[in-house]
Amino acid sequence: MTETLFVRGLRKPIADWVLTADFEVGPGERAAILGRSGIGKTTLLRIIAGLEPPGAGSIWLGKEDITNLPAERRRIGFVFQDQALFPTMNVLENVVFGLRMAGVPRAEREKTGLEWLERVRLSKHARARVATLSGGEAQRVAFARAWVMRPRVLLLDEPFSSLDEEIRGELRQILREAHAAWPVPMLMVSHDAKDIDELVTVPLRFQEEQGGSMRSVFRFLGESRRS
Amino acid sequence: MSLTSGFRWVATIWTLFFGAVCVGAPVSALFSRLHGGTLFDPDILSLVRVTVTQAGASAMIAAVIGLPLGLLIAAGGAAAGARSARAFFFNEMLLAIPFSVPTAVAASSWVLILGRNGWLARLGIPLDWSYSLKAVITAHVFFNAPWIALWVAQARDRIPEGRFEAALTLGASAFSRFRFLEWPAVKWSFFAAATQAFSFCVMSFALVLILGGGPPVQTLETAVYSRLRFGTLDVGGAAACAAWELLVTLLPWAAVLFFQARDPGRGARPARERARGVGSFGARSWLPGVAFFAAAVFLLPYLAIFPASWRSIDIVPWSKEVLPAVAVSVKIAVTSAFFVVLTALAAVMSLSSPRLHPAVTTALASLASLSGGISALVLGLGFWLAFGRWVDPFEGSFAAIVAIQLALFFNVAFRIFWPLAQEPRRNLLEAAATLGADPARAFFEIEWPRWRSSVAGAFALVAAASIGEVAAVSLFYSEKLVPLPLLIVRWSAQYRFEAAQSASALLFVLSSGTVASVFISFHWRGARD
Repeated sequence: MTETLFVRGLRKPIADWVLTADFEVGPGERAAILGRSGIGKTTLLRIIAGLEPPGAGSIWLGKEDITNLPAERRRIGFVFQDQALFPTMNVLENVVFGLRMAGVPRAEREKTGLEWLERVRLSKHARARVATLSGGEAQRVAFARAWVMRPRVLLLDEPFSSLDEEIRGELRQILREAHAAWPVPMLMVSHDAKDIDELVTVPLRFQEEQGGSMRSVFRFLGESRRS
Repeated sequence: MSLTSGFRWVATIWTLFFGAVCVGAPVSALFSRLHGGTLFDPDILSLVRVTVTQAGASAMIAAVIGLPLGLLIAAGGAAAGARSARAFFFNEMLLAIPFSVPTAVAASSWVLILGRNGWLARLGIPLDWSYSLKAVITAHVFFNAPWIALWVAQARDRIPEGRFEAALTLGASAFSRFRFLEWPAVKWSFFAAATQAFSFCVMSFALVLILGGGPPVQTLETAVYSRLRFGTLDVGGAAACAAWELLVTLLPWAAVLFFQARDPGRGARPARERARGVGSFGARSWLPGVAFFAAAVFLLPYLAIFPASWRSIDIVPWSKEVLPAVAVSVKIAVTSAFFVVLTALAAVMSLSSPRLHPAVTTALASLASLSGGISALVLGLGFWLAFGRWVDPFEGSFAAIVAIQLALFFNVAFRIFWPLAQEPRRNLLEAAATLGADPARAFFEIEWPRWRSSVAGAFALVAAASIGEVAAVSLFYSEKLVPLPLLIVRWSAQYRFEAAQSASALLFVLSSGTVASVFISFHWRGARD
């Protein structure tokens, strides 16, 4: 079952400016937050994930208010910009970490993990240490790790930065396939025009007012490009 | 209050309690007993002179040997290939072992070598250095030169290979590479290690007591002991000696910290990346072998006790005296190591609070390292003065021995844990949270694997150091509380050298074996991870 992500009346003071947001992303939609560097895109993703308090406002998943739910109980998949893979674990252990936290029995989680590694074309590296992976391989592990726990929302923070175009294309394809199989609301931060052109169905733009001291993200009514 | 901040509060309270009881109260009690007259007594001023001369000469000679030795060891490990990487690890271990040799063992070994009927005398080398300042300085140089070399080698090993290659393409000579690349990278490690060596020599107890022969060579440290344990009890004189000793050990430290803080390049600690055979020694295939022999030289004197101990194995009262002493030593070592690790972890946790200003954190971290600059006898005297109502040295006190060793070895564990706490791993904990791990589980799954080998390493290193520590136990022993190093010192004082050498061999195996196993386990884990 997939639900809509609602960000309602969010207002977060940060240093000398205020971040505000009001939008929703429906099941199967792939939204991107657009704006210059340092404008607050990553902060917004972190607030949705529960890694930072929102200040004022609320975040809903379907009919459930998750504003005060701790990050570990939200089941929101997050692909970090630097992947944040666990260096003391191998590839498969990284991928199934979320299932382990959910108490899934070992045999079952390893089976699911290997299926996902097959899907991201990394099954040969299941027992490899993450330090031995290339940038593209590490990013695929990060995708698999976020997807494998069947998240309610998927957040991606500049997932393709520092990768070459060929690998980006391959990863976009993997992402599209995975999203088709599990069509949750997806929200990503990217600066790359090709990512936005090929992946994104809902562009969410930052608007700066009052000389940049008020930065707002909202969705224009009915805005979407294609599904 | 969250789980993390709750733990941090408990950690902070524990750290403050440790600081107040084990360091603050003893040092304050010591200063409260000082009188100007005693402080500037000519006898005490002459002890200051001897101490500074002895420690200054020892540290300077050790530094002159340690700097090139460290560069040589690093160059030996920098030759291309896995063999040289193994050689570097092995040579690092060789440099670390002499430092862990209990002073009582070192003293027994040097008596065997330098004594009137010692090995050198039998070889026809007329060096009658027993019970002299020269013997004390020689023993200290053999202790401290490898220690300085170890610090220099580790700092040199962190210089990225690319810098040397760039310097070579720009035509830099061996001396220029040393001057512009190696020296800036190693100098603060070198100065810190040399300062530490100076402090160790000031605080040296068993070596000076045995090799100095008592009255012929007396330093501030042995004077504190003799004023408390021999003849008429002279607490005021002991306090004056202790105050001078505190000043002499802490002043150089303060100077190094001051100048280091003013150096703009001090924070440059590049990631460990093995340079390949370029540096002031150039790239030579024979370097690993030479480095190995150079490092091994500093272990040789201690091996002298093994043949001697084998010959006298029958005359040692093993079951009556040695085994009970080993049991006491192990009990003290394990208890001290447990509390040292616990307290260092608590201190690191409380200093990692994001609420603290970075400058405050740096200042407190430097302060935390300073406890290692206070000698066991100075702390012990202060402890007695502060808590004399409950702790009487003449009755013996296990708790006092552990408390003093806690203050003595706290900085060893703190220095191991502090760099780990400073590495930013917040992103991994956040990633774990998005995958459903609560804070406690995230810590044990993500952080603990990174910490456990360091915790085990710190525990073993402190236990190894504690098992050979003799000054704190000399002050608070009783007839029921005689650990192995104290037994060796007593037997040496009673001219039972053969028995002392056998017991020394056992103590050497216990402490050095622990240090070697720590190195091997770290290396094994490093290779695996």
